[in-house]
Amino acid sequence: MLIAAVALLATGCQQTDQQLPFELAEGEGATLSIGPTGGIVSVPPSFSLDFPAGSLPGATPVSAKPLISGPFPRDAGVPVPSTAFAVGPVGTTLGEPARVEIAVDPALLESGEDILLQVAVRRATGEVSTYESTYDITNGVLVAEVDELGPMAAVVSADAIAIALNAPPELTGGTFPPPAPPSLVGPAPAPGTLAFQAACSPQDRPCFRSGLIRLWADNVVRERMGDELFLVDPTVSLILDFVTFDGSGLPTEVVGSLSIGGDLRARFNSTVSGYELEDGVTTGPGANPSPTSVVVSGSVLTFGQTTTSSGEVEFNEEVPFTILDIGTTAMMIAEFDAEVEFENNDGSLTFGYITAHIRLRVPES
Amino acid sequence: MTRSVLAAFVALLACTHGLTAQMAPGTRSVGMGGGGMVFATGVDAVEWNPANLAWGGGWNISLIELGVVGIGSGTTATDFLSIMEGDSDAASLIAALPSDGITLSLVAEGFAAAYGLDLLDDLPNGANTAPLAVGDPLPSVGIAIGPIAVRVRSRMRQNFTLSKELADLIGNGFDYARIQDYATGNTGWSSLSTSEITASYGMTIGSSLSLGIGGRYVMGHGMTQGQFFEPQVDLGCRKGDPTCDALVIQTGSVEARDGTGYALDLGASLELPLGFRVAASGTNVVQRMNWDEDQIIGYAARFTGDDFDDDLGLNLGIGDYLDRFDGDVIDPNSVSLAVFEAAQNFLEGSYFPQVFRAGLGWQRGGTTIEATGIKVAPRGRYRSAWDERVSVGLEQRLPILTLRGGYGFAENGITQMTGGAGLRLGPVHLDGSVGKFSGERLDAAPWDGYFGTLGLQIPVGGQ
Repeated sequence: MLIAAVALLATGCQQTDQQLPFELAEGEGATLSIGPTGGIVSVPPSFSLDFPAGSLPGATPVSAKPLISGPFPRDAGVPVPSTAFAVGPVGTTLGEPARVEIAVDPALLESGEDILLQVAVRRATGEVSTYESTYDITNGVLVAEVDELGPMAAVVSADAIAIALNAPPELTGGTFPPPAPPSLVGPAPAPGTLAFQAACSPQDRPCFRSGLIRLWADNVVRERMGDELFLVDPTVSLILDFVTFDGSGLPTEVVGSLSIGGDLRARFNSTVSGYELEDGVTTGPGANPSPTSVVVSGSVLTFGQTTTSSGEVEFNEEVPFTILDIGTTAMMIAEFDAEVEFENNDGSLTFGYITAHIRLRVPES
Repeated sequence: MTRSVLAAFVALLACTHGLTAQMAPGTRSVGMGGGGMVFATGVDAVEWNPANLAWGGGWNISLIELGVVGIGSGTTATDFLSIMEGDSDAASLIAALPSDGITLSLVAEGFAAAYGLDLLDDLPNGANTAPLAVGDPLPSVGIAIGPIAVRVRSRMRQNFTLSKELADLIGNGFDYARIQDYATGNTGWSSLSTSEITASYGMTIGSSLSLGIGGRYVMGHGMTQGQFFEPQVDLGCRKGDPTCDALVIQTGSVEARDGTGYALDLGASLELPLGFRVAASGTNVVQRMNWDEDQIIGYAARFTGDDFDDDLGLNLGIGDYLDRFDGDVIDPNSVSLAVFEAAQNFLEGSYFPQVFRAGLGWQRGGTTIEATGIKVAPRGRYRSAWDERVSVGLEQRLPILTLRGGYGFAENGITQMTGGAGLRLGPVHLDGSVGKFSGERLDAAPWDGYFGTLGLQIPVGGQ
């Protein structure tokens, strides 16, 4: 009898768990006045926006609430469910970037999507911008620093190029097609020249869908960034305009430029983070492309003089290439290396390289 | 120097924020392998079995009760300090750490120990900084008069876990070339500080059965929980560039400062022939604990790779690091996600579990032998890895000396070997006990830890 009474007492009077009084009702948000000294606006359990001092010039009623009135645009990628927030005043530009944290449940992501996560903001102009973001895989928190207020969401980038780890295939050279004939209509190459062009970017023609670019990482990049690498939101622009030819039809002079950029993203142990890749080169001695000599030897073009985006002038730059006949025109695949700088403890830099194979076409007349 | 300070800082975290653990008080029970329930008398009976108060008689005053327990896995205490200090063998010790890192647990029993740790626990902006302020731990004292006893008890429990990768960062210093390796993993901490006032009564039924009951009022002085978030990496940041940080580690923590609760204990004891006795007791059979939800404090701090870079020679002091923790009462509309994430499940299970004990003992002359089994209910997280156990203990009374020894085996592989001695100087009894935790674990690092207690009592009359 006594044991039964004790058991009844023990089970009937069990402690119930307390709950934190932080969570808001579904769809509820917050509006706080943030001044020049900064502050935080949050929508637990999924969103916070931390303004440092100097971010806002004066007291501003900053609002944040789950975005349920309409879908977040898919311009920059596929929004992760329940991660979109309406943040205002829309269009407010920030003197100092604000730190946004969005909870992204790893269970909502398909395998491999975590490395493609980014914070996206819809600007007042309607354009959707993505920001270099860090994703804490252990805790499911996506972090970025944003410079403008507007609807925000965690998106899985749809424009990402996987970076291969094996050696790139060797390019095989080929026969140059004849220079363009004189044309009176449209933006065709100048008479007597042969131009190859390639361009892709998230805004105009996404590189992933265009198939213009393939990428490989060298061992240094792999050692510093791991084996799972993507170039997210890549931007590529390459123009090679061969302006003079010798008697056998090989080019002797070229004018051109290359720029390649994007967010080089990798999984660092339990964090996904990025490196802003930006590299480029122009022919000739300055920032603006100018003619330089070119020598064709087998599958390699050797440019006489080039200038890197950092202003360094280089001589006899070798560019492996392949030319393929595709019907009435030709396609060139050119190989360039984009430099990645890694800091060392003694302050020196170690350089790694991302090798790009870019497919160029002769513009249609 | 920087690394030494960091080591001290982490050690401070380890000491001030850690574990949820529980150690039943009493130098006698500790000396007997964590058993000693069957023949616990006087003030000790309040915690172990209030039914024993019915057998005691006389009176008993407990003036001092001190105890400290430290247990870890992943490394030994000595090796842990070598890692934190960045000693010459730190690299090899870090390499030998298990993949799940280091776990440290600490329990301070008694006013002095608990109050000392509570002072260390104070963070900037904290309200609990004045010495002996309202809300601080109470002195651990008790008095038993015949079948009635009252005991005041203060405890502080702490847990700290440190990932192998973060130990690497602290022990070996920040290395740009290894920036991709760093991770905080399960690094975090929790702590609890309480004082309890328990009143107990034991009564006999017939000549061989006694029953006991105890009522307890619990004051929660503080409860914290925090975690480190995974590093944010900026590969484009160059060494010495003041405008950026190559590595940033965010931390978030929450603290509740005002909790109250109550509990009911029950016990029974049956005398058997030939000096045998069987006993059973239930602690927290009924209990409630509530924390003030309107006064949850959130803290956030930010550490960078430079903080772990010996080359920079920043020589930051502990105060500099603690100053990073910026805290305020949490406003749901204005809380960083780091703090909110750190608060997950903060109040769930924030109470003591029910503890049920049963034991068999034999006492003849000055010799006592006891075997005790302890079962802990799954609900309530104020418990430790070694609470649920079987203990066997021996006590031998000599003319002015009492010797004790014992062995305990916990379900999860922890074993404890203990010993103790008591000195009777007239009416004053001074008792001390020490012990060592050890134990192998399947697919995990072995346990390693120590504990010690000190007590001063004045018993008069009775058993």
